[in-house]
Order: sequence, then structure tokens, then C-alpha cells
Amino acid sequence: MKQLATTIPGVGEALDAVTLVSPQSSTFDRLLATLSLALSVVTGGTSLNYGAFAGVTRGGTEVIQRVMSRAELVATESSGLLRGGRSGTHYASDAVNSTAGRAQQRLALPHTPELRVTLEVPSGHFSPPSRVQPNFNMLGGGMERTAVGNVPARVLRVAEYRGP
Amino acid sequence: MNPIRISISVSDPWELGEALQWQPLRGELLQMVSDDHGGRALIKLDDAINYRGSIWRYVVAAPRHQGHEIAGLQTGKKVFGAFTGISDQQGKSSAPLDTNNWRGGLGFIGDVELAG
Repeated sequence: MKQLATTIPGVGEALDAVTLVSPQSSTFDRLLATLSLALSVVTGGTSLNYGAFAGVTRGGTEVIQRVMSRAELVATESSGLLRGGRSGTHYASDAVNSTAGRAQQRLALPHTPELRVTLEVPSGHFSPPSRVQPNFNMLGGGMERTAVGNVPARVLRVAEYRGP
Repeated sequence: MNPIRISISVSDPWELGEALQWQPLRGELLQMVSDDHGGRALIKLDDAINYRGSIWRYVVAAPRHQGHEIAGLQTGKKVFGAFTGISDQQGKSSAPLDTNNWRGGLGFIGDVELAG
């Protein structure tokens, strides 16, 4: 219903604007909200707007990606919690590179990742993105977010890295 | 001067965290330097880590993210960090914080703060 209401000029644009400025929005959310606003200009505000679909306005979820081992995936799926509810800081990204070598370089990881997992988590747990510094003789430069505590997580997609 | 006690939480890799049962690593801050990447710190662990057939007693900590400073530790901040294991020989050398020659071994991601 909220999605249809965005065809009323002004309503959807307001939701896009909220998505653009919300600290809970991912980079991907902001990109789509910008495109949605641009489309509204063309259609005179009668098109559907992304803001109605974004996590920050649908009360609560966002999509992140995390590289992990198969063992961590099992723990995540069985517990329904990010990193299986283990202690320590959770590191994740809005989007991780699709090749293992590139992901390792951009995220400056000391090990080659096995899986790239897309997860749905409640909004509000993760920090805004920060740029990863070079380390472990890796270049860094990727964007990363952090969270602590128990973060409910639903596995949406699993992609296995094949070779470097 | 009293030694600065610190606590390290491991986040990744998973297999290291599991091996340590996700217990924090305790240790002593021996040295800290500033550089263009937020500085580095030399930490001597209370209990050496046995990982992949080697024993690691010293780690070098560096901030994980741009704009963060390892020196934040001294003001009580938790610092997201990248940690590199170094040999006892390097840990006791005159240049223990140089990890440019790292080619595998102990490396992990986590956070570090003053021990409570």
C-alpha cells in the first residue's frame, strides 16, 4: 500500500529524501534513491519511488555482504545470528568484490575468503562505512562497516569463490 | 611506569576464533609509534598462541580503518585493528613494528582496548 502511495506526487519523493539522508541507508540505498528521484523528475512524480522499498523506511532491515568460511556459514544459519553470535566486532560491507583475490586485496584480509554471503539484518546495528587501510601486504581501499552484539541475520545468497 | 594492559578480541579468521574459543587475548603494550596510517603498536601476549604449527608471542596492531589512530588506546578508546604475528626474534629486535615482509602466518582482524 505504501508503495502505491508513492505514485502520488510528493509522497514518494519524501521517502526517497529520507533514504538519502538517513545514516542507516547503505550506499546502494542512496544510489537507488537518487535514481528514483531523477525518475520522478521525468515522470512528474507519478512513478513508484525506491524510498518505499528501502530498509530504512520499511521498518527495519538492510542487506549486507560478508566474506566467510563454510564453518561460519553453518553457524550463522543454525543460530540465525551474524557470526553465529560469537563475541567481538562484526565486520561487513554493503558490497564485496566477486573474486576472492580482489576481495582479499580490497578488504586487506590475511586469508583468502571462501564464500561471499549476502545477509539481511535489522537496520541500525551497523556503523556507516569506513575505508579499509592497507595491511597484510594487501592494498585495502574497500569500504567496511562494523557492529557489535547479537545481530539477527538471514542468509539470502551464498556465492562460492572459485580460485583467486 | 606501570605497563599498559590491553585486551584483544578476535573477529576473523573464523578458525582462529574457534581455536581460541573466542576468548579475548590479554597482553602488554610495549611500544607505540605514529605513522601515516594511524600508527602501530607492539603487544606481548600473556599466553602465546599456537597457530598452524607455530608459536606467536608478539603481535603488531594497526588501525583497521582510515582516520583511526592506534594512540586512541591510551585515551581508553576501542580501536578496530589488524594484527600481525611476529617472531620472538623480531619482537625483541630494534625494529619490531616493520611487517612489510609478512608472507603468511598469524594475521587476524578484531579490536583492541585497555584491559578492564
